This record gives sequence, structure tokens and C-alpha cells, in this order.
Amino acid sequence: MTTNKDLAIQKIEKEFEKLSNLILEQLRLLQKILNKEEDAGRKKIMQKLVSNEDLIDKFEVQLDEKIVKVIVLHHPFATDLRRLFAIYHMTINLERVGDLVVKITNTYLEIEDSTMQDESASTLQNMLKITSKMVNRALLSFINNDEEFATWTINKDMEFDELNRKLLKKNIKSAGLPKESQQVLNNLVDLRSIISSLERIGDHATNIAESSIYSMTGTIIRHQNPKTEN
Amino acid sequence: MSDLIKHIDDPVLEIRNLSVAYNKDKPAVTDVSAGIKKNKVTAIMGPSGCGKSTLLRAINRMHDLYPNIDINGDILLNGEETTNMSTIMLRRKIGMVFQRPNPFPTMSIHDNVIAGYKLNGIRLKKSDRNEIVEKSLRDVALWDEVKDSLTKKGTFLSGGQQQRLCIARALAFRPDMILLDEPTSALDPVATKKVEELLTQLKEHYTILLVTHNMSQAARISDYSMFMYLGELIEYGKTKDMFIKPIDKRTEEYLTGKFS
Repeated sequence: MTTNKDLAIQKIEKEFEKLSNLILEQLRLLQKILNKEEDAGRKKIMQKLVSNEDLIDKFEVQLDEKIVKVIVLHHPFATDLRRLFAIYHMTINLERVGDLVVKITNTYLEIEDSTMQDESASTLQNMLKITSKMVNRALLSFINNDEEFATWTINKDMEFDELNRKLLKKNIKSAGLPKESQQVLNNLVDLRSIISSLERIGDHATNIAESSIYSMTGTIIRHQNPKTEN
Repeated sequence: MSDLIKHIDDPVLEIRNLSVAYNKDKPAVTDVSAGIKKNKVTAIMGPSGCGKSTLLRAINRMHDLYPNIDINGDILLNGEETTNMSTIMLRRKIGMVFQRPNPFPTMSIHDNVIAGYKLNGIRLKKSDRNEIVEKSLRDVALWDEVKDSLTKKGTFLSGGQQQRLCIARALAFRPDMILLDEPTSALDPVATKKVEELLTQLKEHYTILLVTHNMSQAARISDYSMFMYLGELIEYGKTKDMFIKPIDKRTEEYLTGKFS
């Protein structure tokens, strides 16, 4: 017998699958951008990326509200509860992946010019392939209850971090710059990393503030235009 | 049964290989062993007919006068076998509260609280009587509501107040343990909340064993939970563990509403 609670959870799971597919599509679109798609095609890709991003934000808010409703109305326990919380956390992370895809696209288009070496471009493409596969397998792990895929992704992450460090150094070295310039470049890369981390702390603070407002008023203000302040 | 909890340190009550059958073809409880932790709320859950009420009643020897009943195994209260105690003594040490509030209809609120003493022919000084009545009613947060109407009949009270009066009656003997058989199923949400709050406070001084159909209630107020199915104790563990990550598939199915 299927209960209202089962139906509500099934609906949430279906919506989560749709959100997952959207994120995977965003990653494929990014791959096309990095593959140096022709200008005409690129414009279409950009439009699709932006419209998908709006959908992703809406899905995130809807899933959030639906999960709260199921918890309030049906008091789920055991696997039901664990699944809902997993979806809740995964949704937050998927939305962040979506944001990053847009951010990467914009940054790439800013720096991409004739001076960008083919090697750098292909490095980014390879890295994107690996990360896309990680996202894909992590999601499949949840959808198909496949622990192996989850373990693969977790292990890959450690391997991937190490690979990234090496690739970055290699790219700087292969640019053929004098040693002093290479050092300056390495320092700039490190500085950029610190700045990004600080930015992310700011982003997390904003998320905490939004959750605080939700706690006080019950209103989800994520993805809405911020109020102006003095 | 899963091996989540096999041994409880410092148990008030120990149930050892308890089996109860109303007749030989129909076992109601089969080979249940468990220790009940002191000053904690333990909830017994399970679908209708799983044996949870039979288990609770066996602890208080309420089946003693049932014809043809077959009871095997041991129950020890503070290390002493309950079968070696008189039922009167046992029920002073283990109080019982039932599903429907059942104050004695002809007795006043005051007399209902000390009904156990009166019915057992125990004479108390007036000052002791009044002290027990006040203490017991204060323990169930009913004193302020009824202190000016102690001579009124117990049935004069609302359902929730009557149930708290019944709990006060169980507390009047200062028992080691209180057994409650679905104590809030006949109460409205406000009265239910008061009883739940009360049980949470009472565990400071008493050990509480509660049968409930209401999973959310078990999750809210119990420290330990037992899941029974077809007379067997399937899983026994800390409530916070069992409700999030049950070990046995049947517990999982019960908690997620796959069967009831």
C-alpha cells in the first residue's frame, strides 16, 4: 500500500533526479564551451546555461520546502528520514555546482584569447571530464543505492586534488617564462586561492544569514534580489 | 534479535527468556530477554498483536488469575524474582497506568491518590495521608489545578487530568518503576503533551516502561526503544539510534510504515 508519505517522498526523489540531470547538462554545456565551440553555437549554449541556472535555483527552493513539509506532516523515520536529509544536503551541493559552472564559464570567456595555450585548454578539459564523472557517479550512487560508486568518487577526490597541484605547476613551467616570473606567477596563484577561499567564507556567511531569516520568518530568501542596505 | 543491546548496566528490571502463551497453540510472547535501565524511559513498540501489552502485563503479574495461561522465564526486580513476591508487594513497587483513565468513580480526588493504601487496609496518619496526596499530585503537576477541589469525585476532572490522577495514584507508593500501556491514546493533543512532559520529568526519580502505538511519541520521550513483532523482541536499542538507523529489516519496515 502506498501512503501519502510514500507518494510525497517519491515526488521529491523524482524532482531531485530532474535537478541532477540539469546539473549534468550544465557540466556537458561547459565541456562544449571549453571545446571552443563556434561563436554561433556558443551563444545558444550560454542562453541554455543561464535558463538552466534559473531552473536549478527554483528546484532547490521547491525541494527544500517539500522536504520540510514531509518532515512536519509525516514524521519520517529510518531510511525515509535518512534519504530526505541526504537529498536536502545533496540539493544544496548541486546548486553550488550549478553556480560554479556559470562562474567558470564567465571567467573562461574573459581569459580565453589567442594567447591561451592549447595545453592549458586541454588540461581544463581533462579536469572537467574527471569532475563531471565524479558528480555523475556520486548521483548514480544515490539513485541506484550503489556504494561502490560513492567510494570511487570519494577516493577520486583525493587523487584529483593532488593531480590539480601538479598540473598547475607544470603549466606555469611550460609557459617558458624566466624563473623569477614563474615564482611571481606561483605566488599569484596562491594569492588567488586565498582570495577565493575568503570569498567562499563570505558566501557561507550569507547562507547562514539566509537560514537565520528562514528560522525567524519561515521565508526562503535564497535566489531573490537582495534588499538594498545603507 | 539484533545484538544492539544485549546487556544493560544497572537494570531495575531484568526479563530473562520470558514466554507467555494464552493457550498452547497461541504464544503471545516468545523468549524475550531484556534489561530495563534505571531512571530512563523505555518504549515498547510494535504492530497490534505483537505481544507488547502482554509483556507489560506479565511484568506486573496481571495474568496470575488467567486460566490456562503458560508463563515461562524469569523477571527480576532489583535482582529479586518477582514470583517470590506477593502481587500486592510487587504492584506497590511497580505501578501501572492504563490506556483509558480509570479513577475510582465513587472516590474523591484525594482518596483516589491513596486508593492503594485504602484498598490494602494500610492505615495512615492524616498528616501522612495529606503529605502523600500533595506530593503525588505535585509530581504529576496536578496539585495547583485540584488543591481546592480534593473532595470532588475523580471523574469530575477532564480526561487528561484523570490520567494524571491515575499516574499520581501509581506514584503514591513511591514505586521503583511505572508501567504505562498507551497512556495517551485516549487524550487530546494538549493533554498528551502534558503527560509526555510529565514522564520526562518523572524519570528523574522513577524508571518508566511505556507501551505505545505512537512512533513519534516513542521518538519524543523515550531513551531506549524495543520493537516487538509476532511475540518476539526484534530489536532493542537507544531510541536515537533505532529511529535513524535500525538494524533489523522488520524494524526498518515498521518505522517507515511498510507494515503496521
